[in-house]
Amino acid sequence: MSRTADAAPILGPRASLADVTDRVCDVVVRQPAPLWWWVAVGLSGAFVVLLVVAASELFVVGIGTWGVNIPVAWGFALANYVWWIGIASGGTIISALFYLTGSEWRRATNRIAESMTLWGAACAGLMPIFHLGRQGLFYWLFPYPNVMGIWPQFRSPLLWDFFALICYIFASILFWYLGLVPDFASMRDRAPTTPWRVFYGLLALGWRGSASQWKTYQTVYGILACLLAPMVVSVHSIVGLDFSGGLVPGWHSLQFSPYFVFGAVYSGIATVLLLMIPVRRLYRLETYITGRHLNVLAKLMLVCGLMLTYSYGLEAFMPFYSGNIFDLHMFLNRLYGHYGATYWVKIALNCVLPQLLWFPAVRRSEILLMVLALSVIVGMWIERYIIVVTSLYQDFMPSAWYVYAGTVWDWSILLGSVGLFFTGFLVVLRFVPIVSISEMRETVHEHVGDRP
Amino acid sequence: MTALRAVVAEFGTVQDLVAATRRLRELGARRIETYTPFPVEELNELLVGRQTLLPMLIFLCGAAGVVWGFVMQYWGAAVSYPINVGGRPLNSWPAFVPTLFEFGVVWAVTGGFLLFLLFNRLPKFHHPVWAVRDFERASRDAFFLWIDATDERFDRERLGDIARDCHARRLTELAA
Repeated sequence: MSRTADAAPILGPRASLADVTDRVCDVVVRQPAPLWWWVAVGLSGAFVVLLVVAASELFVVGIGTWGVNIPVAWGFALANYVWWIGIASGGTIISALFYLTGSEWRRATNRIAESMTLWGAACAGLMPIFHLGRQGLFYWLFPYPNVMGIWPQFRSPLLWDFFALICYIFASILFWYLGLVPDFASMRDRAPTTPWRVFYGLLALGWRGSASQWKTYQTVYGILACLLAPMVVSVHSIVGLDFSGGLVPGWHSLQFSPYFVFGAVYSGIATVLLLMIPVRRLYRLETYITGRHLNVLAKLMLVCGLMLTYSYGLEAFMPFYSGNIFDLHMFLNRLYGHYGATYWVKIALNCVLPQLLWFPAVRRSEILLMVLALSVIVGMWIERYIIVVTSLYQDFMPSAWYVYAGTVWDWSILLGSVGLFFTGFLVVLRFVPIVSISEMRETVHEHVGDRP
Repeated sequence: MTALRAVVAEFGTVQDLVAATRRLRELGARRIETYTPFPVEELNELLVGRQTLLPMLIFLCGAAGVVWGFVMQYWGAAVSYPINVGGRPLNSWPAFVPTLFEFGVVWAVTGGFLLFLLFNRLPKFHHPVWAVRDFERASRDAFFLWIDATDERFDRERLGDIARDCHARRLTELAA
């Protein structure tokens, strides 16, 4: 059974150099935006409006509009932040790490993954700013000479996180754009009207595809991939250190960095699957994004799920091994306390359900893959919610214990950020070749040859 | 008759383009350039060779980022705004390492991108090769070979033979 799934070709029938170029370019430059695109933009745009309203409420009223209160000083915003940066990280792992391994399947998926990274990181970047309390002063995070004569605390994981995130977003944009330069040249050459030709011509920077240009491109692209693969691991490790650096039971754990990286890749791969399956159908890219790609990503998702399950196991083992009563209280409370149900939902969504991916038939079913991907994405949000809230709500002083719940504004920020992500991705879908054309041409050249 | 700037040959496959390029190189032609829709390893070897300077420069960019990151953090934490945290040393360099890593990477990535532009002379929005008919297909499914007329070994007749032998679809002469 599994052999048939693995043997699914990496290219469908009718693949050719001309076909891959025309198919990917034409949906953007030669065809008007389809109806489903307008509907999707309308829907996700409505959620962006919700985000703007919720952010305005926050700016005017203040953090009190959220459910957070001492001791639960962190709530949705931190969970959202970790969730989004995790999704973003998974995209870079697919595009940078699997470039270094020379995986052929990556070529059809890396543009979707990188675009997802950009918008995921953008949504992540909003959350800490929202949570600042005085959002207008966010620039105080930057180390700049100022009249107050002070500097940020360079020894704090929170500041490491600020640098990690801002460097990561910047590097991801450059990596994404570098990969796009030859493809923008294709768009320029396929564009039927002068305005589009000028638009894509400017973006292509005058790319001609000469031998020396390709050589430089390959050298720089390879080095950037080498740099981004460890960077993304470092970024999510530093997010883990935000928690490890705190003294709260449930946070103060050395395993957080690898644990968070596993979870990040897990949710990132799930999101790529969730986006890729509709995109390949709606843009008729079945020839280039085949069952092979879905199969590979599904297997990767399963592997990440197992690694994460291992981390959950370690997390359960350590309180008993250490015998620390505070850790034990926190952990048992996490399982059976006020938020106990969320813990078991998390286990079901992240550990149990994905075991279905062992079956090749499940990996071939696009509907099931989308359902599983969605359940992992939701499960990963719940995981971060549990880490943030259940560690905090019963702290060292029982008189201060507090049951936290998100208000309507917490939910609005979360749903609004989802809307922002999808709006951004839809814009990418409309203006950018969603599959790396130049890399797909190499695959076509190797498997089919150059003739039409 | 106007002077000839270059002759551009169009091929249908990589194999033909590589064969023609190889023959021209064997004849000692130096001023030739190829245009392909995807990178071709053989052409890298024939026309470009190894690129050792670029990785070194990118490494230097990263190293500069690390140095700058350390200077900034040392200045902020130990000189300009020293805070005594439980008697720990002000130059707490292990706590600077995560930021140093990010600085090194982001400087190398930025430097790499700028060097990519510099080495390729981009952005450049005009080039004579764009006058060649069907050159749009160089970013789709056709393979072009530019032979500069200023090359010492330039020989229009022999070039015609090579183009025919290698199944060139079309030869375009560009006036200077």
